[in-house]
Amino acid sequence: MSRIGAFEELVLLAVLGLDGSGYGVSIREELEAETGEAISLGAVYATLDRLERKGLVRSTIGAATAERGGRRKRVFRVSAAGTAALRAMQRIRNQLGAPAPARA
Amino acid sequence: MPDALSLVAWVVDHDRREEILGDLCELRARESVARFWGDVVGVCLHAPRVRRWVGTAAALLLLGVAGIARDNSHRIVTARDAAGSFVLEFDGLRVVRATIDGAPVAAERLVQETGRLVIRGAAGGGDDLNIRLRPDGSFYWRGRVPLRTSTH
Repeated sequence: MSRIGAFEELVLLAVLGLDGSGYGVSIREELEAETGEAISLGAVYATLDRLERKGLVRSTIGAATAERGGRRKRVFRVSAAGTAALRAMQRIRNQLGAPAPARA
Repeated sequence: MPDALSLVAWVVDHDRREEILGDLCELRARESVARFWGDVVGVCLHAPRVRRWVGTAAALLLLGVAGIARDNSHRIVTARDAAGSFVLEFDGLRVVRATIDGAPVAAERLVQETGRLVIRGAAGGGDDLNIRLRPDGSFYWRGRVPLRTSTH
């Protein structure tokens, strides 16, 4: 299983939340809305590239729009490996946060 | 003002160009100028090509620093030829002391110029020993010949 960093996890969650319609701008907006912090678009692209290399997200080319000057989007979707990585992170977090078992 | 999209198009990888330019085109219409230029700079700084340039520049800088550190190294080198041995003590690329066949050479007999060291009267028969010093710290000289001693 690929290890993921905190920001990678946030980006993965944002991609998951956008359910296959997420692209650079919308993923950044989702992250900013949820964290309340300004996020660098360059950092989002770099993280998406890394996640795609790790096989945790997959991308496809979408349709062109006039708003984008006729340029197409690259839309991202979380892969099965990405979902597994998020579950693993959640499990680790739950275990770390759980009270330690009593010792006899 | 330079065109932001042209700058980004020049910096980012070809296979990501269309989507990134499209995203920035969208943002230009809705963001403040400052935020938009912040995004342009952020995209450029995170572009793999720029990271490679920065990495290469950092590597060259490290090599330069390592080279300077090497120049400042102190080392003692013993050399031999047919006439015997001599020892040069380097401080960086500069020879600070020398001995010939174990005898220290007086400082005034060491004449040093860029890339060249002359040890006065050290080549036998009163001739000078000329040593060429290379920038990498190595040196070479014309081998001295042993002095002939006459036998009667």
